[in-house]
Amino acid sequence: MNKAICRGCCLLICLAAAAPVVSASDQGSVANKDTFDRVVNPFLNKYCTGCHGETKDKGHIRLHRLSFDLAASKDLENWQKVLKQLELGEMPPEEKPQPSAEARKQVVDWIDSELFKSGHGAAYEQKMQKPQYGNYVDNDRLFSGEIKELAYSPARLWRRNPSQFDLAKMTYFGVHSNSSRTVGEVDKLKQPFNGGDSEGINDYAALFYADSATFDTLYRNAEFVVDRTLLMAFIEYDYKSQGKTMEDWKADRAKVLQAQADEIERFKKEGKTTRYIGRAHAEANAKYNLETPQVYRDIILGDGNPTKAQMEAAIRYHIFRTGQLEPTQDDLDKYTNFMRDGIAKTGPYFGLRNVLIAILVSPRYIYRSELGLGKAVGDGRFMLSPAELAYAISYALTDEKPDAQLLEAVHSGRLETREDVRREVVRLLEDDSTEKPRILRFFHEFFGYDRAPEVFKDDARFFDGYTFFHVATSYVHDTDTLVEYILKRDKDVFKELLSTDKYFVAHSGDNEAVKAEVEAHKKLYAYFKDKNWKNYAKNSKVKEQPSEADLKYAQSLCAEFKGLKGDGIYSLMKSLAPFEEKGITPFTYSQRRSRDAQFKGLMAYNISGYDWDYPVEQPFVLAEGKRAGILSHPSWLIAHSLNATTDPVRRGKWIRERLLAGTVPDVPITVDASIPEDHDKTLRERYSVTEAKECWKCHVKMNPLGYPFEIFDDFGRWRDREIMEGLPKEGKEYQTRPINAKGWLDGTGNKELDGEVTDAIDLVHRLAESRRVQQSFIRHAFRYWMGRNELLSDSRTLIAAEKAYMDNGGSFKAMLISLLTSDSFIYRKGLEH
Amino acid sequence: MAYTRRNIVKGLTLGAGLPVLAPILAQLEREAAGATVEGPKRFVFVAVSSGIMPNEVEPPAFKDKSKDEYFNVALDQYELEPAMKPFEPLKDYLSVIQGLSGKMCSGGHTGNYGALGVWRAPGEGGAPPPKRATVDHMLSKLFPAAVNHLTTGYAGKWGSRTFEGVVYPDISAAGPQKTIPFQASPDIVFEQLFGTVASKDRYSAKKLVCKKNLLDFMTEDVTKLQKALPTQEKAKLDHYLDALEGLQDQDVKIAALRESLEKNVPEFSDKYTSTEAERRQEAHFDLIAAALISGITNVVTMKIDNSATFYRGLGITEKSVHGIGHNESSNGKTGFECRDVIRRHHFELIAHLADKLKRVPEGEGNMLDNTMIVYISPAGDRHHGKLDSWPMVILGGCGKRLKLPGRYLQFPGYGQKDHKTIGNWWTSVLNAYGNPIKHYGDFDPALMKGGFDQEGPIPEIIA
Repeated sequence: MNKAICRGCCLLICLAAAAPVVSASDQGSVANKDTFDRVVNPFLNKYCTGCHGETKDKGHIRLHRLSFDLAASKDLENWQKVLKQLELGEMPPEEKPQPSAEARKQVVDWIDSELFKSGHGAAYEQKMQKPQYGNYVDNDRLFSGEIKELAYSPARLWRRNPSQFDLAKMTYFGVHSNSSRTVGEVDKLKQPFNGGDSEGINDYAALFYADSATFDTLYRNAEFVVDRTLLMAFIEYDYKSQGKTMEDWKADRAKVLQAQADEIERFKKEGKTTRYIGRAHAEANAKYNLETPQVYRDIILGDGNPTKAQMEAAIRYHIFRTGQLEPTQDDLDKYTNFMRDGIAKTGPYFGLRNVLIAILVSPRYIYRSELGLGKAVGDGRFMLSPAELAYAISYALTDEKPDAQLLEAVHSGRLETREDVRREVVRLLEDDSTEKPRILRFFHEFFGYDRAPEVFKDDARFFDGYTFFHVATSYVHDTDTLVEYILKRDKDVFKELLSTDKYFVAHSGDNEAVKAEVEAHKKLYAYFKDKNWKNYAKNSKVKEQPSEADLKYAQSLCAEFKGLKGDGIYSLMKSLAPFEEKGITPFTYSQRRSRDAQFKGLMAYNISGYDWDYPVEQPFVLAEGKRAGILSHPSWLIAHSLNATTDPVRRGKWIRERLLAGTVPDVPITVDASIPEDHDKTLRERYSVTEAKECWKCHVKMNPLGYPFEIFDDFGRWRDREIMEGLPKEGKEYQTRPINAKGWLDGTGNKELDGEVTDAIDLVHRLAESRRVQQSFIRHAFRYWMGRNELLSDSRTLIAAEKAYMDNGGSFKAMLISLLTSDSFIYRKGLEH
Repeated sequence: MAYTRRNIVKGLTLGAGLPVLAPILAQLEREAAGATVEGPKRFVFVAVSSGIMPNEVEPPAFKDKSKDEYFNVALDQYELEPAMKPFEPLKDYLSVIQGLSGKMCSGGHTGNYGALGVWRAPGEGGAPPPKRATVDHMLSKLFPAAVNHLTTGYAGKWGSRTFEGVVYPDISAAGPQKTIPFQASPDIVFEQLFGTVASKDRYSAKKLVCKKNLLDFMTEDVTKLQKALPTQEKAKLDHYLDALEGLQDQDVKIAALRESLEKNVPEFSDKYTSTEAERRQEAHFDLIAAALISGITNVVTMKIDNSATFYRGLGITEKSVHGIGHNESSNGKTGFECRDVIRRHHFELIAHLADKLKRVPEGEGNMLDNTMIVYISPAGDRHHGKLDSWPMVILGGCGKRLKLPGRYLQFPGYGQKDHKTIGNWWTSVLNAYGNPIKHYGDFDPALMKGGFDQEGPIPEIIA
């Protein structure tokens, strides 16, 4: 089962040595026919061809006449299928006679080596690098402690990701901008780095590269940025070349500005709104506010013969602004030569412009280097260089280039050892002033709950007249708040995430602030309730305004009320009244995030808006025994639902793969999966079609883990009866059927946990107790932070990370520090030194 | 890795393009041997905001006809709706499609990618990243040219007030996550298409030289860098080199079209820099005609307006398209009357484009015979689209691939027997032009519930 991984190692070593790929035709003749005849063919005949042979072709696969020569490639696909089935232990089926582990291994080894000999191994390897194949490495072996191989990551280039770009473009203009208007220009820079379109953790170094669309966008962005930056100097250059001066330009500009002013006057006279035309003018004028930096002016407006120092200064300045580290002397020489050449051919402005564009579209800008340019550490492994480490650490936790302290460490030779790395990682983790968006993003990618707003729900089924998108966004926020709370406590993190009965609902997470806010609202209500506040409304028939003193009092209650006017007081009073009249705590506007989320969206939590006594102190126990952990948050349930129904199969698959480190084979193409439309039956009853023998083989891995979540509808509302939307209503009410949420857990590797489960709450509590689930979490964290699937050789890294987690009372932080100081993170292998 | 191809292209001086000429020579040879060779098919998608209401493109004679049943009649027997009068002389080329639903997309003010991509893409300030390539872009892959897919237009996103430079209307996509930018400035489009033969930028020749220098420099630099990398990482830079090659390739192809571009370059006038909607639209349509006729592109998507557009030149000075869509009156006309005026103006522009194409002989007919111009709205069937019908007006002979020219087609209404969706429709179009895709687009969840078979093309419209 672990061959894929060993092959991975061989492949990398072989590639690193730049061995030419052996062509199939050269090597076909040396295929190992002897082993085929002696071992492989008899194996196939004994265990396979009974169902996949001359007389039967189950799944349209026949294996009775496979060619031993893989290079001939006529049976290549079948060989790959056999390999996969044997590696995963999927075949022969359980009820059939099983080969010994040794026999299985021999056949796997033979296919494996033949694939490589025939030149067909690479495609398979590439496939295995994809996130969906991460679990092909056996969990027990990975954590067994038997693996003695030393860990490393391959020498690689890692493409920048969309979040890094978003931040970089802000920084670029941020540094440059004197006015808020020019920040609007940032929007003209377009995202060149597409994210992966698959769910889950997928920013893998091996998967992403810059294609022509990336280059196209980068080039367009670069032209835009450079033209904006150089504009004022260009104008001067251009006017000069026409024998004019900047005074002439100013006169020309004055005419344009006058024309704009005239246009506004005309609009005013015609009684039209001038807001939009004014904004259009401001936008058009913004670019003239940017001053061209002196280092560029020196070249553009100089004598056309800049010194090397001038050119280097311009290049350094630009490279620094793009978020790259100091250029090497080689880089400086290369770019100065290019600039000199360009100036000779096209003049100083275009010569400089071209170099600045070149830097912004260069591979060094697109990729960060993780080649292992540091010192040798034995076993063919090399440490990342200090500069490489600075980036690796910074991008592990933030979206930004290394901060000043990291850079200082690089320059002063204090980023060269594992201890140096630990010091910097700990510093960043403990520094609250450094934003670390990467951590929460891991939980987004792992759980996938942030995708709730992307699931299309027919608003009318939930509540009329509101946009479901916004409501779903507020559920994501609720889950984020809980994740942050659990991370802050940093105790039994994975267990808590899966099974806590505490919830945040419409709350910022800051109890003190929320308490003060609620108090202010209550005081406001008490103060105005006997006054004529209804008359403060803008469209009230009887117009009346609060007195100066009243207004002053209201504004003094809290920061949020600072700009409050009569109409605002009216709105607040109107929204507070229903709560106060019932004597329950209101929840305040700033905690609602949107109107929708407050009154209607709460239904997903089985809370009815105006009847809810808002818990000021959160998290709170939402519904004991009915909800526990993130898998019973509306955000997760919606993200893992279909448009109009729940989705037991996908939920089960999610648990099998993400929590139980298991695998589910791809849907066979012969399957025409469709669930019958039988309006008289519950969804689970309709899913019974998947229990047919040929389907159940795979579905048994998913459905029993997904059915327990039938205690929630597809909006995440708890239920014990299912609404039959397809049946005619009885009176005003839908007909309902009782829910069956029983399921079955297997695959924890712990007999006390495996077995029948009563519902999702029972299930998540068992999962939370499972060691394998804990290990699966850690494996996913590994993938996220290393940007690749784990290999067997990463065994020591994973074991150490789990130990750090457990030794520190279930500390996510300790686990993360362990991962980021592991061999897998800091050592590279594969570059020719 | 395509070293050979790259080296060939790199070794060429602009204009001496042997690889470019090769297919043309091959075609000439085939023609000399007596074979009839089919030329490229052309497509123009004109996306209009605020919806196209079913009755707005329906001959008045059908006013009381049931919309539930299928009917397919020749248009020449019927008088056209008044705003469609510009199509009177082109009636043989005209078709109107009604009754296709698109409820898998988002309705309201705009469904963004929905119209050409058949997925739910809500958002007035811009849609979520695209799910797949839209149909216009897929067609451009079937009929490649120097500029595979030309995307221009007067306006960007639904309510955007930017009418200059690159805009992102979020209606076309090149693939998952890949939105396609549109160029809103006619002068820049002019520069991009005809810059090599008639530039208005004093520095355009210099910029072209610069770009070539840059691509050469990068190619050399990257090739050097590549040598220092492990093999697996070398492949990443191959993609990069391919991109550089693609750009050089495009320049070579454009250079090879020099003669044709010179012959067809539109006359540059102040309408290319005008701030008036109508004049800019006219400039865009001139460019589209010139681009198609010169052969620089075969597929164009044009965003003709958006909700913030004012049609002052048509005498509608008080309200924008959005206000009109809400039936606010302007300049003494009701919203509906204003819509009629605007639609007629659009149809005049389209008819004028069609007329230009019709004048160019091609094969046994003319260019319009091989062209399909589609007028469609991302909002669907009204200002706040409900999408139970997605009306379209089509002009052109469609290369004899579709049984459309001269027909009025009403598909059975939403939920009726044999009802069809725009997914079925675009599947048919793709199939007709050589993409055998089984089904294009998402399914309508509500129809799925009713057990409707939504998959596949509509065989009766494929010729």
